[in-house]
Amino acid sequence: MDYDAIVIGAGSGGLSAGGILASRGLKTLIIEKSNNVGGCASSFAADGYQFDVGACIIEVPWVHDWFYERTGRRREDYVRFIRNDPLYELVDMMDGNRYLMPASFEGVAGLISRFSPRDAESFLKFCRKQGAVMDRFSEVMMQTPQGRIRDMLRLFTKYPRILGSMKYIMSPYSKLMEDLFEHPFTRRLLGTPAVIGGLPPSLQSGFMFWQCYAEHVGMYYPEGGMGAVPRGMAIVFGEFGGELMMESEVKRVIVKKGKVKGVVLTDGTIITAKVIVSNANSKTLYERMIGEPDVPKAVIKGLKSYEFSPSCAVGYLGLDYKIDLKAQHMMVLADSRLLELFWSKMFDEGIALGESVGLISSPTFVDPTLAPAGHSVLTFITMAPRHLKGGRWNDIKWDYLEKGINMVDNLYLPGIKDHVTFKTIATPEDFENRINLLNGSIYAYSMSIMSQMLFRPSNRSRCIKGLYLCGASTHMGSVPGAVASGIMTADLALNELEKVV
Amino acid sequence: MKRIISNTLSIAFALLGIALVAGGFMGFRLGIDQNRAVVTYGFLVGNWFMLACAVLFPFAADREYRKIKRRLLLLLSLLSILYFIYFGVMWTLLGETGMQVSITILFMLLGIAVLFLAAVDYIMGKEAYRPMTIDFFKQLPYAYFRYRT
Ligand SMILES: Cc1cc2nc3c(=O)[nH]c(=O)nc-3n(C[C@H](O)[C@H](O)[C@H](O)COP(=O)(O)OP(=O)(O)OC[C@H]3O[C@@H](n4cnc5c(N)ncnc54)[C@H](O)[C@@H]3O)c2cc1C
Repeated sequence: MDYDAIVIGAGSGGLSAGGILASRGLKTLIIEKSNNVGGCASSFAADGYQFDVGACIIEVPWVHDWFYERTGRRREDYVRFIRNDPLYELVDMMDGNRYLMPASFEGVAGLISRFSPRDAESFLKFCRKQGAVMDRFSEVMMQTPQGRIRDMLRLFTKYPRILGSMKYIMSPYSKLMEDLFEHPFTRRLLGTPAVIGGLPPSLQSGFMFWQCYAEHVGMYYPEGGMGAVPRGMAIVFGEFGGELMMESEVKRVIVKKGKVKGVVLTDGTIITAKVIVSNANSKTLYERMIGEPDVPKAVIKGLKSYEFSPSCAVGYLGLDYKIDLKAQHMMVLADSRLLELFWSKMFDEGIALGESVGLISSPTFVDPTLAPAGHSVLTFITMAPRHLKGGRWNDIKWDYLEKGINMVDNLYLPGIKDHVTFKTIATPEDFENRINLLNGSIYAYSMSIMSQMLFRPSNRSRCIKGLYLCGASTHMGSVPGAVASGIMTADLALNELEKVV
Repeated sequence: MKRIISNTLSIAFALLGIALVAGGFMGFRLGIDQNRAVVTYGFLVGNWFMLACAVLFPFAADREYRKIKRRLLLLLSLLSILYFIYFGVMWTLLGETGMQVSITILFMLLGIAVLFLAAVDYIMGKEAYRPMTIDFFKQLPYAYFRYRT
């Protein structure tokens, strides 16, 4: 065997799995298709600017600390996080008014109480009781593999208090907002996380309130841009003798008699290993990189049945001035009915709405070194369908970018379009082509209850021995979700390897 | 008005479900003639009740839920007709124990299905829960296959 372990993909999940495996003395190779580590959470440089490819918010920072602790290191020595405060500047779509979303719970309550003191009280009470319970549960969830019924039972026995919150978890997010808050402003203010969580408010679980809660526990941005996070993990991996093979794509996983033997790259190179950890999307892995008969029909049927999480288009702008901002991030506040409408136009009808709800991030607000002196960087993320009704992304992407710039100019930052010195865009199709992000979906599969935990692909393959899976398509999508899945998957693989040894 | 009809119907289904489960429980204690009477009356009343509901009550449901409600009710009516046929065919072939076992198993299963319908109908009657519930049922048939992944 050439290696003890091969990791396919250097995304957040692959790097954390690779780092843990290498730190335990295993001869490990990570194979990455692109010329950059981090996948959705990487950065790229152009015209003197540093841009975040996709992810631009760090929540649940303890997961990153966990990775470094597990490898006997301190996160601060590799990457430093800067706390966002305020979290967002919000533009209310109803009247154009602007608000700053404070970082502290009390600050948010203060903002809400301008409209409804009762809602402010309700917010604080719900955060204290349910928010804290959901936060603790997600901590347990991130540390527990969820592939088998026994794992699920373990999850609930580790934190039985969550059963008392089932009422909220089973409730649609929109209903939770209606029940808790009386004022439409509060519902708009706290309703948007549902969409960021990957589903419209009527389909999203009330559990997503946790996302809202977690933001106020702490939302961060890494010094040096998002790419500093995977780079830090890659450095740790290298320190333990791990090898990183860039710009090489795995085409097939070799399986013999139900057990993995190695991988074949697109150039035909064969590399063998005792175990394979895949950070590639699980559907791509099983359907295209392995296929029948090694993968049973039932598994293929399960994979085909998944609905995808939303896809996004990202506009990247280099600006020749220092933007006058009040927060790194900007977002619109929209009524839940409007959010539903946008959602169905985009993801049911396949219409690309340039002015769609999204997120604006200007990382130079917290780290000016990401642009030449006196310049700024700005990215805008808009939800956008992967498959367009009657068209292709390549035909409309530059128009879409212009529409997006106009939207930013009109809604958020008037006058910005006169300062653009560099601009480019990544569409869902680009994400798919560049980093194999299937369907361009930001969290892989849908975030609905029926696609989570037991019903998401297992970290230890159930049909092929020696095959392990990590990343957003096996765990709750997001950077911390992917990092946590990598750590757990590495532990499962280590268990097997230790048994073999 | 719609809400009242819808809630009443859910309660009626819950009662019917409980009655069927109770009938199943009792099945083992009754003699063959009594069990035949349970089958005859149980199905005559239950069947017609459900068919009538399938025809009449979907109109009391909100538009987007009407089709689903009709389908659910028709499905259950069909199931109970199949039961009726089964008992019709087996009327003379089943002995006392056979009848008792059949009634216990089949009534209990049908009762649970009707109780389930009552619960679903109650939840679906609430507009806020409907999209999530429909989505859940759309994905439910794949649960096993997803578990296999
Ligand atoms: C636009 C956008 C914005 C987002 N914003 C946030 C945010 O603010 N906060 C947050 O927490 N999450 C955010 N997310 C989600 C988050 O970034 C992802 O869920 C997470 O990074 C996924 O990590 P991963 O390890 O599963 O895989 P990925 O990041 O998808 O990485 C997979 C890697 O594997 C490589 N690869 C795939 N197939 C092969 C192959 N066959 N051979 C070799 N290499 C291969 C790819 O090139 C890639 O580098 C965002 C996502 C997007 C797209």
